[in-house]
Amino acid sequence: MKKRILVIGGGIGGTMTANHLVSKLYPEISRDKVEVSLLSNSPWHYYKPAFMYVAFNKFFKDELRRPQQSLLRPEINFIVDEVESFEFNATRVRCSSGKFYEYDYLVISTGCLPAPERIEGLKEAGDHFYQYAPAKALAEKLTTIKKGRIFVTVNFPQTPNVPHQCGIAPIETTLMLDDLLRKRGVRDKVEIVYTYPTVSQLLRNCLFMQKDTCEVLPTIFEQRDIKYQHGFSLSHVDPDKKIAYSHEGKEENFDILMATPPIRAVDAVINSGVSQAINNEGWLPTDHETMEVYGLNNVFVLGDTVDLPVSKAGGSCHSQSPVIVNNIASHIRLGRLCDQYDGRVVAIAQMGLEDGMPLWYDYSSDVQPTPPNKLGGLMRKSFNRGVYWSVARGLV
Amino acid sequence: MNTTNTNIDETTTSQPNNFITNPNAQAGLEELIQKIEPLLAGRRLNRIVDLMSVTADVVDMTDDYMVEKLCKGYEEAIGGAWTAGNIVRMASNDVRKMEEPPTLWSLLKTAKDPEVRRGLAFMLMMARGIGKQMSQPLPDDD
Repeated sequence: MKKRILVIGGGIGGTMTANHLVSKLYPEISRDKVEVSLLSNSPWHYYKPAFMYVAFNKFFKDELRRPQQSLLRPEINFIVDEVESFEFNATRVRCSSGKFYEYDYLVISTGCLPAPERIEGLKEAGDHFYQYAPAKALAEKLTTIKKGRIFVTVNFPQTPNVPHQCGIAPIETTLMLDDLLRKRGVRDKVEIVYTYPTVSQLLRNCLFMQKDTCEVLPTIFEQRDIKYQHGFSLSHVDPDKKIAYSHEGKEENFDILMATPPIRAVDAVINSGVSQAINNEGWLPTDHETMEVYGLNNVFVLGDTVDLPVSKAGGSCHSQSPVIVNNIASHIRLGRLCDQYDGRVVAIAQMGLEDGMPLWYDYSSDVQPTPPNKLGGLMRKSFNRGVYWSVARGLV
Repeated sequence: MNTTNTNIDETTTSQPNNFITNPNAQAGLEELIQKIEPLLAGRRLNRIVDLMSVTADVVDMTDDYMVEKLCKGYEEAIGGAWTAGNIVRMASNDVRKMEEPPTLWSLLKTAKDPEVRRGLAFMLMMARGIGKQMSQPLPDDD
């Protein structure tokens, strides 16, 4: 009987996994023993990290998206529909079209959503760069501000030891902001204040979620005259007075509040009843090695939806996806799982508008910061403009 | 019997400032110098330095606009080759599944499939593009 593999989500995790599954299981697919389907709520595939560049006028919309079908192997059955509910007992999902899709193996890669509305006043007064429209709105402000104060805040999920979206993004954008304002010739009239909350995963009162990087940041910020504060956990915002209040009792005025907002899983995942995450955040309980969802059979999860301590970023998906592919292939062929995820995350951080810093870490080792340089910057820009699409196609 | 050379452990655990006094490191350095010697004598090492210099020049000269154009070409080339490869693989798999070659009539019947018709239309549009490229006569020699 044909095995049906259903991948949910047309982001980088779902796309590369579907393509890789076809390549790995091609002998079975060519004999009609395995079928791979990808379900996405959009006919477009967006390169999400490029939204950050939109805020700095470095990307146009059509440069950061491609038709999803053009990135998929033709053997993949691509369906545009939105999952409304997971019916794990019946091994099927129900979609907004009213259709049901059954599976033998399910891969959940539905990402996460910014939720600024979870902090009072943040949606009205804050800006962020994690989606296209907000990033475009932020770009308008960053390219017109002539004097004032830009206040940067970072908000972690309340589920213990789960990071915010793309760990390095707040540092990347703070440095890009400094470069942009210098280019515009207004840097001496605009104060930049970078802040970090008291609790950042396992660390307390730091400027980053990993110790080594945390230790080099003051020097980097001081060289650029960027003010910094630890221990600022955003409590609420007064949009009229333009004041951000912290749980620690501080209050800070701003002209632009550039915030990494709270995040949550998509509605269908939250409503699935499987999550044990607090604050209704919806992260799925994930076996940190096999990438299975605890308590369910033949259901795997990757990317932003996991409850693991690794970065919610494409660089995590790139290492998690092959593990899931191997485990599904192994389960079909041998009746058991064969691969383990070691927590590896690989990325190239954009350190200002020109420089880049390749980085990697896993469950047992943190990022070792190296001096950012132009070659790293060119690597990142080449990835943004070209290599990413090969990654999505499962070629890299 | 354990024949492991314990000196290796000593090498790996030694501090960088002990490097020059480490006998294994000195032996390695000597070997490296012996290897480089003929390159130095023949002025061939200069080529490596030249190459590094050119590489540094390329890095310095490359800007965002150049990266954007190069990457566009990369994506189009890779994407095109990938799509063509996918089509060939899928078609050859479908053909292999045929127990007998299709008759002329059954071949014509495949055109009922809208995806086949779309593919044929693509081929014809390609023919139009080729024709357009060739529509201008070769200019006269001036």
